[in-house]
Amino acid sequence: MKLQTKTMFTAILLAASVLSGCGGDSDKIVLKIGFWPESSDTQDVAMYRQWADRFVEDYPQYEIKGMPYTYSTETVGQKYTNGQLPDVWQTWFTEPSKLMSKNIIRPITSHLHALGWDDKMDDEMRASLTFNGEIYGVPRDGYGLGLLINKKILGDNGLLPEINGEYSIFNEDGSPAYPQTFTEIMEMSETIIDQDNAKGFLMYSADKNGGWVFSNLAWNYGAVLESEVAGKWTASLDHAGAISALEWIKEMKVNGYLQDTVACVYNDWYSNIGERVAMAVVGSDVLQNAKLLGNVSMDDLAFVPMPTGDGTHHYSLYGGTPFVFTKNISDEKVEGILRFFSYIGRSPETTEKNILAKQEGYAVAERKGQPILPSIMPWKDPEFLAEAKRLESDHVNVNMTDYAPFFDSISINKHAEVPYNAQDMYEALDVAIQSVFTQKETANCRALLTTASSTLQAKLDAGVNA
Amino acid sequence: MRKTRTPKRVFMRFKDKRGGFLNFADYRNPANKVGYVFIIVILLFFCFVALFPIVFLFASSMKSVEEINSSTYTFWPQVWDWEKISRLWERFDFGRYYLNTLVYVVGAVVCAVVFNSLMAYGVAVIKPRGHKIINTLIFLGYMVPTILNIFPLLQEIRAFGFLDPDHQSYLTFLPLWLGFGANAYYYMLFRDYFSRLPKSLIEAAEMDGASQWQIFTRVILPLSRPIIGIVAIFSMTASYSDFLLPYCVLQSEKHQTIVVGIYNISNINPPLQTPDFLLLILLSIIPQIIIFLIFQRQIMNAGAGKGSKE
Amino acid sequence: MRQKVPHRKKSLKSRLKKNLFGWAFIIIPLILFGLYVWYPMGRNFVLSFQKDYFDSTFVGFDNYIAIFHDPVFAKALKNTFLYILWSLVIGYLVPVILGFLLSEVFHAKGAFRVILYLPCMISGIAVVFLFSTMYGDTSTDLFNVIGSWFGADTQPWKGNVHLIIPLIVLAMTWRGAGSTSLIYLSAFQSIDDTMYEAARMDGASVWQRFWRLTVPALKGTLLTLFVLQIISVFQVFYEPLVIGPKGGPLSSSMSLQLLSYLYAFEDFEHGKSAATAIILVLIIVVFTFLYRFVQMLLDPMRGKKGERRR
Repeated sequence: MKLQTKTMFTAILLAASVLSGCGGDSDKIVLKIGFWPESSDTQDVAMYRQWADRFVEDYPQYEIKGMPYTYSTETVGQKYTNGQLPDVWQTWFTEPSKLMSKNIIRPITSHLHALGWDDKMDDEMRASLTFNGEIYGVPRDGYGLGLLINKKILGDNGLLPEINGEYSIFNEDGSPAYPQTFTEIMEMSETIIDQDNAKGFLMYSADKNGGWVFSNLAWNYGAVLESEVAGKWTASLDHAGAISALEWIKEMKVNGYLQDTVACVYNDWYSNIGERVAMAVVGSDVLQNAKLLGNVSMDDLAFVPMPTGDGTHHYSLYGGTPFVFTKNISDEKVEGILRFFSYIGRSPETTEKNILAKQEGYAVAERKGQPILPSIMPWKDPEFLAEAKRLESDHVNVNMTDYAPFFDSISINKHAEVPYNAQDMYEALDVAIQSVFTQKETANCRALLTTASSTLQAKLDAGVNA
Repeated sequence: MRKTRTPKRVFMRFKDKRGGFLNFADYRNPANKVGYVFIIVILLFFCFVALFPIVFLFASSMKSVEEINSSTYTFWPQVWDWEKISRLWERFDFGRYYLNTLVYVVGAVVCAVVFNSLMAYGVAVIKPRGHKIINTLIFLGYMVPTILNIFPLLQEIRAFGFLDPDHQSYLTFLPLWLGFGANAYYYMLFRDYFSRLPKSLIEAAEMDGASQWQIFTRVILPLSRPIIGIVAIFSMTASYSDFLLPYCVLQSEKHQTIVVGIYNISNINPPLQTPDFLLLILLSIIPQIIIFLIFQRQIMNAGAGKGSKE
Repeated sequence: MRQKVPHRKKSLKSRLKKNLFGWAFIIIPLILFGLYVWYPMGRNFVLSFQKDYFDSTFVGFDNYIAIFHDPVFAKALKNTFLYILWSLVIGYLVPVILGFLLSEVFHAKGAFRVILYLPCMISGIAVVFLFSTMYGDTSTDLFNVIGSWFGADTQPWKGNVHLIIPLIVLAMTWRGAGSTSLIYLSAFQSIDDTMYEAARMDGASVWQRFWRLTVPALKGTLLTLFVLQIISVFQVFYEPLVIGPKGGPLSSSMSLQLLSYLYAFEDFEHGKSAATAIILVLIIVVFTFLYRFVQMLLDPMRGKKGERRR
């Protein structure tokens, strides 16, 4: 037994030392890339590998290391305190303010300025990445919230005209047949529920997704949710517009027009939009998931601007994905990563390699049978925009008549997320929505929103107002 | 205590039932025979409940996306797409998860058996100065789940340099393995077993001039096969299912165990289609089911002993 | 090292040697217990009075005050007791019944045992993902399909704040009942048959036999497993993380353990995380003392004997 124990120990130690191997030590600066595709995504990995090789050829002092990381609010803290964050990673536009105040990300203003990229950035996106005059990230792409419509469900219920044997979102005279107000959504939902077993609308309520979409609904009812009053940030989630929006949700719920669920999250949309719900609020950047994940044909869907509640506002919540840089990484690393963006089609440059990377990206997407839709460009530089738009129009493979209403109007309708404690606000609003879902008729919308507002105010006072 | 054994026969009859709460005498009463039918029916019901979710998992995982998102429900898939298994297997390189889990489990079992038995022998048999206080302190650890103090523990593991994602390998399993070496429950199992062994054995060996180490390895351990087996089985199932600490520590995709891998896959963006994810879950539990079917007797005997310890 | 011990008389030398050997045995496991159990626990205790892990300013009871003002903490505290309540309602009796049925059945006993034990082999993470799918809120998710056979409307199941904890407990029970029932099985089987025989002679009815003999004989096991059940409930962590998700809806499945984790890793409030952990430790300690107390009440002799033996 003694011998056995000893042998076992030796075996473990041996195995451990053999298996551990040795890291390739060299003088190269290693760039740990968090937006690297998951290894299960072999085609994308191959493409990134190719881009990395091209980059290293031009900048031999660097070494690119893929370290896929999908951002989430609870993993970022864990990874940061454990020293496991990559050098650069993707997050959401609501996050940089918190990440900055928690000292997790670093500013890159001077590096951007040296490249002239700061002036080429989309203004809203730059604003949401700027704190105390410093820029904390590079925008990857943007999205706007819009109304995704299942044409088949609406058409089968006689809610869309049939032109040339196909349901159309426009009437014969060219006027929109799709819903433009929340009242219309309710009326359509009534028709659908009478004739079909599908529901009218999908309202999220959990994982902060409910509050996120709700803030957009509230704006379109004329609400202002956060404002600076005499140098102090004030929450006004109990604004009359917000109350109207929640009353609308309540009425939809009480009448049974919403999907029967209390905890509904954003990712539920693509499994529902095929047969179960007629309309859902979705971001313009994930529409392809209808096909990829829900197996719904893009031809059965249409994407239109957010409806209005007060008759004037068609705001579209506008956010996106920025790349941010982990605190404590060296200037050389930042420089290298920014240069690397020009090899993956993410910089505002019209260099040959940047454009080539964009083309290759499209090619891989086409090979994977992915629907390609217009995107919201993170750069405003006219020369780059012209080139990028031209490339895009070559590759878009959905019927644009059904998607143009949204994409043609996003530049007017866009409305940035609230500047401070956005995620906290969404969380507080989730509570209000879930309460409406559970209490139904008896829910007091004003009281619920007053509570949510004071929750947010406490966070604001502990944060930005402190 | 007297136990009456029911004789084994191919076709058991009521008059063969000897011991237990109801025996052949009770079964002369027809009401009790009806009662026995109820026993069988209820057991069959529970067996159905135990098996149904697994069958459901299998059926759902083989469905296509259209079927799972459709508004009409069928239990079994309409089309059986067996190739999906190999597609997903390749896409996620699933074999490595099995290998990693195997390495993890083996290390955990070794650590659980070696260190806890050493501790138990030292404290419960040799009883050096301070053994009482150590015993009490370990009991404190038994009450408080280790995972509750995960944050300081992680910082400690980090201080030893194991969390650096750049240098992760199978060596990163070391802090996780060693954690199984400090398990109050396994320690108590060993302690109770050792203290029940006859003292005369140890004394006799001492008389023969054996050192403590020789007594432990040549006298105690060979006698302790049953308890080693039990701790090995417990630590095997525990390490296979171990989640939070490995999830926080194992950052390198190449070295994740199956449970960590499954959880991470549940969070990838864009998310996996539901039936595909269910299929991965099915793949993740198959080894456990196979191990169970092979070692069912040992595993169930170990499980039955769990409560007999005070 | 091979010195002979001439006499068993405890000389100073032999005592010294005993201590030396004893400590040699336990030193490595002792370090492990220190690293994995005691240090993190102590560090958490200290941390609960500090501002932050990285800023050790002493803040007195600020963290405790802060969590007691957090409505989510109040919810988690309440939920801890709801989890206990529901685990007793759903999870406690099922294994007793199963154990009894298994001890009485004499047809296909082995097969019943294997099938009922099978769910215990499946890792907890896989179980929660599987049940989370079954609890889905659309009309084609399993629970709603089953409900529709009985004419029930589509329910949100895990979206219902009142149902989420029972549903989580149901998943835990599905996984755990088989192994617990084996413990009861061996307890039932170890009841002395002569006792039953004597009762039969006296003409006691089946019910009388059950309540007067079987139940009292099971008292110890029932109590031990009662406590084990409660301790396991305190460890609820990934169940609400996955099924909730994240302790939802409306924090109605939030457990203290999960909240402590979220404080540390989502809000970066290490002090609050530690304070939550310490509160949970206190609750566990109170329960353990209650257990010891009840045990003494039930069986005063046993406790004393144990004392004397030491």
